[in-house]
Amino acid sequence: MDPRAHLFGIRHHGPGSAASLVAALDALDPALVLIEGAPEAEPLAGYAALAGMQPPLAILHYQADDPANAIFAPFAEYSPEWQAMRWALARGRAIRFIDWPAAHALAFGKALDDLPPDDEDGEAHDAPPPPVSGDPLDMLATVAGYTDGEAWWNAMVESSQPGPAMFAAIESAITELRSASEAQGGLSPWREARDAVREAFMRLALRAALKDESGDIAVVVGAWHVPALRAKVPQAEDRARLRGLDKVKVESAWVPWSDSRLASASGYGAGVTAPGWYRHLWQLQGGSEASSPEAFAAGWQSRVAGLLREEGHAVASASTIEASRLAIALAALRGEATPGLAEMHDATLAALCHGDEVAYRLVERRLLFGERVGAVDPAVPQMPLAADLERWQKRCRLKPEDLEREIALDLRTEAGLLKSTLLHRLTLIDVPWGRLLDAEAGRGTFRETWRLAWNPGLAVNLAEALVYGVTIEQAAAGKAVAQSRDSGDVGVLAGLVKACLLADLPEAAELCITRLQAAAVDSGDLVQLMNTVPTLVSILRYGTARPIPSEQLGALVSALAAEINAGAQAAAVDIEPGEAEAMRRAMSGYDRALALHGEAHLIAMWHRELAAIVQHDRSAPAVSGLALRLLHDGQVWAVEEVAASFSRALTPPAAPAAAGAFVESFLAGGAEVLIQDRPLLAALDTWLCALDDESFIELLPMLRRGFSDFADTGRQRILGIVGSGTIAAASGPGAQDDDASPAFIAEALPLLRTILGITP
Amino acid sequence: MTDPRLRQSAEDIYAAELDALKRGDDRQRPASWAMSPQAVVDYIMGGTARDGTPISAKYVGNRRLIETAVATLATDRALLLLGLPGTAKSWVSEHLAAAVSGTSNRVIQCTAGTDENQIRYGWNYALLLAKGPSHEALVRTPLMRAMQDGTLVRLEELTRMGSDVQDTLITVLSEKMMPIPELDDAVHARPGFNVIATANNRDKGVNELSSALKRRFNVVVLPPPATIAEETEIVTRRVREIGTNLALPPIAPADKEIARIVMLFRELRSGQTVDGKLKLKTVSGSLSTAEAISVGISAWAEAAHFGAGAIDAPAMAANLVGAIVKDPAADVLALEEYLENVVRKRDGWKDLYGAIRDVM
Repeated sequence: MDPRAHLFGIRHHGPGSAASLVAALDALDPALVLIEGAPEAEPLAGYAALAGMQPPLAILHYQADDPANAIFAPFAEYSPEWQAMRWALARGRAIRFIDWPAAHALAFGKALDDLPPDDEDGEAHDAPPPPVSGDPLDMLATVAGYTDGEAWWNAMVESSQPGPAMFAAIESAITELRSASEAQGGLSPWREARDAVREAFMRLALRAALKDESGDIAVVVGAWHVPALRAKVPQAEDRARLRGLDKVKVESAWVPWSDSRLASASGYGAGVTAPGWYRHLWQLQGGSEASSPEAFAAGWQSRVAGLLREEGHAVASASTIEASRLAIALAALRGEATPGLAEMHDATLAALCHGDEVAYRLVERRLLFGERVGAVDPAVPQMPLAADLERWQKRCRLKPEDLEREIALDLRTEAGLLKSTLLHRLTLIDVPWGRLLDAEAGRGTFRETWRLAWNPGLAVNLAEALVYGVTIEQAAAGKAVAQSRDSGDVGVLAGLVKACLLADLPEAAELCITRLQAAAVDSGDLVQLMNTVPTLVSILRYGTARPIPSEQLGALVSALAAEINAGAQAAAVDIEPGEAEAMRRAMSGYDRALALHGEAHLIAMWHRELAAIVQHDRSAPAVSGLALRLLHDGQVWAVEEVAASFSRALTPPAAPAAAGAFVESFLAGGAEVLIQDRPLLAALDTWLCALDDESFIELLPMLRRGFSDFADTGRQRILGIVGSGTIAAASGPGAQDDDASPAFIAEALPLLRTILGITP
Repeated sequence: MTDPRLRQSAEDIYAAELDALKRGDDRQRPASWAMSPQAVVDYIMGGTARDGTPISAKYVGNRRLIETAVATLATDRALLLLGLPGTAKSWVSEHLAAAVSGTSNRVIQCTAGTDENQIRYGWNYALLLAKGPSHEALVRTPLMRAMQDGTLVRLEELTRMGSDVQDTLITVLSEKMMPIPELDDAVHARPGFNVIATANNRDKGVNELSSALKRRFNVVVLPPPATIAEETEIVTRRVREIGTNLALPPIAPADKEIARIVMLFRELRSGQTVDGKLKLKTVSGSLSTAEAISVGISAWAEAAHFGAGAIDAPAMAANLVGAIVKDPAADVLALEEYLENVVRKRDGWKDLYGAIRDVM
């Protein structure tokens, strides 16, 4: 191989590799830098030097007519590729990307998607052990007894000189690894095929670069590819490999990335398990001043302590010192020069969290993942979501206009449903182009009315949503899922479930449902749970004019109901009137929803609970009044039993105020109960007549409220019954039927029988 | 056998292993340690000594926990081992002391009746009255002896003694010395001195560790068995051993029922179903492995003496409810929810649902 070509095998997103690489580049000072990456990114590379470019960032390649088919090349500040780009730009050296074009990668990815899924996974399970699962250096590290590739790299750096010697050592290790892997039958066939093509591209690009350039050339590629670049393969053979590859039309853009997406191994290259930790490593290795293990451990533990304090844990500085000492002692015990993440974790747990894994978990996500979201310089063109929106607008025939206008959508038509889906999705990603006017939309109705108004500022919101996905569908789903992770509020989560269903995002909806179930278990607020059930039941019952995961949703409703049923009685005891009123309202909605949901054993449980509420002495009167009414309306208790409980609630030692609240809540909703069931009326009458003047005046407003819902005719009839003095005479519904049927009804009966075809 | 002791100390039982490890140990030892930290970890986790002597595993579980414990002792920080009953806290502490100091006999058993004199020092009152305060009249405690000799001292069940007495340890742990104001003197700890305390982290009704004291300990939590298979194995074996020791009438093998007990305990303890699909309320009791064993024994006794001769759902139900419901309001709620959402729907658990419902 031409001695002007210098191969640097790196670990993607490895801070150790990045630091060694920068040192090596400084030493070599090459005229041209070749980087493993799709050539479509070349025109974009120049932007990396702009001041506004703050990693984590990614270069996105997407199929022009189908943005959902996309790949990302993410960069953190500690990614060797990023550092190589910045190095070259700062010195005015040329950059070339030498991986296969994204045009082929996307076409290949698409073909792969169409294969049966076991091709990717099944291979890995059947084959002996998969020789390389993620990063080959991770595998070398495991063999050497380190926790991950970074720990191993650290040890390498500690023991040898960074720079060319180090990269040579890695190259020989990888060469061994690759030949061993080939002897074992290689990687999965699709990966072998893909790598063969990619490496042919890289070799050809290197050859071309050597021809064009007279100076030294640095080649920055994943360590895995180094032996293949070094291999002597005839040019004709490489060219033959490139023939007949499928390709698609590709567009590329810089997009902001986030730590949490960096952590998931999505898209391109290896994921990073702990971006927060890697950043800390980068500060150690890439920083200008050399850092001792002590300072390194102390820096990390202080960060942990700071986060713990933010979560309200008292962490003394003395404990932070102890945690650093312990981390270093542990590293020594395990034979490592600097503490790795495992040592730091163990030390934090023992010295800062009092052994409590829960406290650590509170900060773990922020600590390891970080919360950083990248930013793209305003000068950089970037627009895949906007392009997707434009396509949607064409499909839906909706034009963005400044002027406000209202549109009515019929969800039974495909066009109407499409528009509604788009608007709901945009609402989810906080691009309020349309505002839904009727709040009841989606509940058993086929109509939605929206007010549309586009303003250019929305483009900014659209760009912000890029963090969640490159199409409107992905972004909406991604954001809903992210929000559901951050929220423990049952109401918010139920809202998200509904929003996802309305926006036709069934998978996100399912995730939100799972989260809702978890949050409901944690929630101690029964009223909130009760209020959640009707929302869910109405979605289940009336649908959203879209397919819904009814089985899962049904199971959730049942689980919530079981929880409410188990706790309602305890929740009704010893509460303030205000809370009682909130609970009463929630209960009546919940009761209706439960009946609609129609699971017999849940309803039976609920009725047992209602009975327990009525029978408990210290239940809030407003709640137990409603409970009794529900037992009565549901015909769970016979009227005599209801009447007995009713008068027990009204007679001393019950205070008049409590009795008043009880009556008000029992009577709310209709006069029929008093007209039909005389024993109740009798009990009410006896109680009213026994009240002394003072209590009566005090209770008047309450009673008035209780009766105010009754229709005029109902009030008239009650007055008639009370006036005629027949309350006590009639003692049950049976007796009352005969007595109260006026003669004119008897006269009408024969005709009615004829009409209905009933023979007497 | 001539040894009249009912139970031998760890350092006597495993004297051969300790010797082998010490002989082959050329790594650096902290002052006064009998062997290097790596050798201590090997002694507890098992392996082979350099001369080929096999070392038995004293603790089955995560090696990293034991490494943290040993590293803590090596940085002269006090070590607190927390865990449920039956997670081998005292066992680990005894072996740590045996390996590091060569003796595990310096123990203070902390109880509600432990006072400061049993922690710091007491007085020989006859001497005190006859000659006045003097070093001869001091009665030294295991803690004081450990300080003077530079060894480990073990404090068992630290949180069972009163908080005010616990705080006696603060000066000892932070300043490594114990003042004796009566003599205008102090005992300064020699290198190698350290404290291993054990405590139960889920017991209600014991004293909290004050935060001042807590800060002076590194805490290692010994977890319950990691997998359901491991825990089922432990419970089944222990039930068989204890039941046989108690000479309970033999019954049909009950492995299947014990597996159900363990599953139920684990789910309520961890707050989610084994398949991870459903979140559950947790209960106030600890539902430790030790309790699962005792439920198994009680169910055995009930089945053998009063039941059908095999552990079945009715024999378990009352014992299960008794073990789970410690707080009549919250725990009943949690169990109720568990019954409705899990037990009722699980294949083959119908009998258990009915039996527990009968008891509640």
